[in-house]
Amino acid sequence: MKEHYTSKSGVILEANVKLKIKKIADKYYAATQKNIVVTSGTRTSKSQAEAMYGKLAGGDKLTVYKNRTAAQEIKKSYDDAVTAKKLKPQIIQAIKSTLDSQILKKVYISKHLRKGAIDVRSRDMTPNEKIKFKTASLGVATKVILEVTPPHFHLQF
Amino acid sequence: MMKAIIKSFLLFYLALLSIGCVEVKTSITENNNTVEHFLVSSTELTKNDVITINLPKVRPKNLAIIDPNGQMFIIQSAEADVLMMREEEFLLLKTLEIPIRNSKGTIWINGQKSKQVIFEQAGKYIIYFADNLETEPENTFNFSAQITVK
Repeated sequence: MKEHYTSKSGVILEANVKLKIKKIADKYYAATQKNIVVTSGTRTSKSQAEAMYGKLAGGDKLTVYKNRTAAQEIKKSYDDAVTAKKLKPQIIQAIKSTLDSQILKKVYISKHLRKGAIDVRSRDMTPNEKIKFKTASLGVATKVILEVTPPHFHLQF
Repeated sequence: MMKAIIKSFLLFYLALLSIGCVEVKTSITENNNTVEHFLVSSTELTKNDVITINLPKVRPKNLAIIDPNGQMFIIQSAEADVLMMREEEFLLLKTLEIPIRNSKGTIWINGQKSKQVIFEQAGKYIIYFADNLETEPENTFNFSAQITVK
């Protein structure tokens, strides 16, 4: 049977999450004749470390992160590795190690480091379609949040 | 519903407020390659000014501007089929200039794509570079800076 959802390239989805997205997408398609686009899925600590390395190397102080303590721990691991004149892969590894130890303590700098978190495109939905998407998600996702800036639906399973 | 939307925007906005003009540190040397910092040269502008953005060597692939109402205007995103220049050119740019007057970005009105003038009103705008414009800033490689248009 034809799938009524697609994913942006590089999006990682676990098998059980795929089944849940399929359920929502089928319901949404039945109500609107439109497919959904998954814009983000579960993130690995390695890809998070690479993204944070890019920010830090570009002069960012990680102030955008809501968990300031966790962000500063990561900045410190970057600063220490730079001071020790480590190469880029080693610096990323140092950031990843910090992220991994935070995850063990259930501290998630991004909601997507937690399993079962996905984002869905909302920008091309009409207000009525947004309501239909929320309805389709009821009982499948444990949390459905319409984020405005940047625009997307965040779902937690 | 409206409360949740306002709360969500305020949280995003407050987080970015703390950034202000991105730091003006000298560049750092890494693996013998000079890495330039992200920098918006002036944060207070008038309608006749141009936003000048210095870009680091490694930068996100998309650009959007968020207006004082939280509306996101896409300027560069191959995936959204919105291009101010070819992707390869965008990834090699050292400096990007955006005039305040008449610059346009893409938004979706009732699900329909539409090109609109960005700087229609005075107030605080956020320049937002990100690899993914459809997820939380915590979840994507991004740089942002706030400017005030008088």
